Amino acid sequence: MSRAEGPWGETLGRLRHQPGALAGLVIVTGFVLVALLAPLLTPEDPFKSHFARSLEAPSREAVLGRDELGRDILSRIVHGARISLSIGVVAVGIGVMAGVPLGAISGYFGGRVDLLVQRVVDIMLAFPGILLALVTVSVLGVGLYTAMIAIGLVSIPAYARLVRGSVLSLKEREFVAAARAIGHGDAAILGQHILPNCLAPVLVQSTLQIGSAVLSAAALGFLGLGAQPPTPEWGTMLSKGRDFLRVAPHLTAFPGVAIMLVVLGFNLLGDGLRDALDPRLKA
Amino acid sequence: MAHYIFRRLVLTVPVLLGVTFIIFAMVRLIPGDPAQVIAGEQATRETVEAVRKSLGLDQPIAVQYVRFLRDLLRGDMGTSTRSLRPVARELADRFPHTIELTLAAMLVASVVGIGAGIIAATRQNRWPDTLSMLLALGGVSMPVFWLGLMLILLFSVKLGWLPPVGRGSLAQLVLPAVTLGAASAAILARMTRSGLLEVLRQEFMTTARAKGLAEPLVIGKHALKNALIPVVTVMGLQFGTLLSGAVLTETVFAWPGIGRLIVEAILARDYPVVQGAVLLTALTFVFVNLVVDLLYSVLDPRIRYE
Repeated sequence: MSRAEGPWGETLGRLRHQPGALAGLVIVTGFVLVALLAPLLTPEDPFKSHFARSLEAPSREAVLGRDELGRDILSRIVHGARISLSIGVVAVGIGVMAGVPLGAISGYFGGRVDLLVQRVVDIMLAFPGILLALVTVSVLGVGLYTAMIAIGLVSIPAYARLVRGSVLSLKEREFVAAARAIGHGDAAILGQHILPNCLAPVLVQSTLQIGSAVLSAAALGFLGLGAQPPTPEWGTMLSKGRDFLRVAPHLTAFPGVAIMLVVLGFNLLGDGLRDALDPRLKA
Repeated sequence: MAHYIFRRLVLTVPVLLGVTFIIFAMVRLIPGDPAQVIAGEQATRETVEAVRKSLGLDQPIAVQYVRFLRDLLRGDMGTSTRSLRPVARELADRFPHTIELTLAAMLVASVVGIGAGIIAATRQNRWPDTLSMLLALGGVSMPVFWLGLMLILLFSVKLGWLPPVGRGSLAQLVLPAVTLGAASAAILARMTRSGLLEVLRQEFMTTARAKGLAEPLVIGKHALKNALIPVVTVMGLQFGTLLSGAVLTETVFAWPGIGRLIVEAILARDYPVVQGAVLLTALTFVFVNLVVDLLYSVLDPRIRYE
């Protein structure tokens, strides 16, 4: 194997042989492109109302139909991709930036620090699912930005646990002992030798986490606790469409399909990456 | 064993304290003046001061927390600012409905999930396996509220077979239970399949077959018993997923449970109710996890807390 390929090239090579992971990669890439290029792709302004044409069923001119204010649903879903992607990225960013150091310190130093961090993690995990996000939203107020913070907060314990576990096993390895023997301090050992080796599980976790962040954001939007109308957020759109379920089910159906597709993409890619990065874990 | 149970119980104490502290602290963390926010923007100064006093917000934090815990132990969680009824009464009215829904969903998830997992594992890489795993993948990716609305659309609006909302009859329980249980069924199906495949490779399976046992007996008696041990733990975690999913499912089906209560209370800024309902849900989850962990240590004597 050429040197340029390295472990990442190898991983990509393995990924190519999994149809599921490949499908996930295609969906995720498509989603990111749609989010980035949204203004170029939308047939109409997602905020522009056409009252005379409200609730119109899908047609050649408005492929996914029109909502209660006559807005083009396709344009709104395409714009919604931006919101979902930003929520996913911000939430995962919060989770990684807080969870990885917490887990690393907890696993590396052990003792009282570990005990303390693990109890905090236990406490956070005692709030099932989106409950902690609900608490955060009720404190900080309803809205898109608090939803991002809330979902990010909820993802911290998973990173802390994951990184702690990796660090615990890595710190007993010979290369760490070697680094210590040549006089490296704790910070250098942790930062330069141990953490880079935690990258793979963190990457897998983040991929899966973006999917679940998209799902949680939509859930908060649906409950009226996330993005507020007229923001074209998928969960918010779906919630509005519920009032018209009998007469215009397309208002509800299509945003849901968008959410499912994106979450499915991240799940497939995450599972595939896990198998490709660590063939031993393959079920 | 006794040592493990003791350690597990001791570890629950800081969690209980931490959870109650977060619930206690949330009102104090509201940006601005919590008393003003709770009393409402139009409230007079007298009202704001009355709220401050009734919540004890004028006392030192440590005093406030001890009072909070003391009241909690007496079952006093304050008064709803919306209905003016004691929070404990609100919860007592709603909580049984959520438990009813959660248990029904758990039943759906176990029957469908474990069933699909067995079918998939015993027909590995053939179409029933592929189909159930594809469905399972869809199940974990699907927003629970969207599934609920689509089921209403199909079974209530189009076919007219089942009532779309409300609680009371068994027919009204079907759609919410299926909706809430679907994601957990998907996870249980994947767990059961991989657990069973693992066990099926073991030597004692070959022995069981070699001594002439019929295949259903081999699977049922020897394989499942071992494969289902990890599934028990997952079911405990799934209980949490269900409790949190109930928030969404109850909203979709206008189910008068505690999840719906939380959302209504957040939107109305009815903090005592938010606190009480979230606390009750978290405590239920902690309790279920404790029971599951202890159960697990009985089922699998190899498990010990390090």
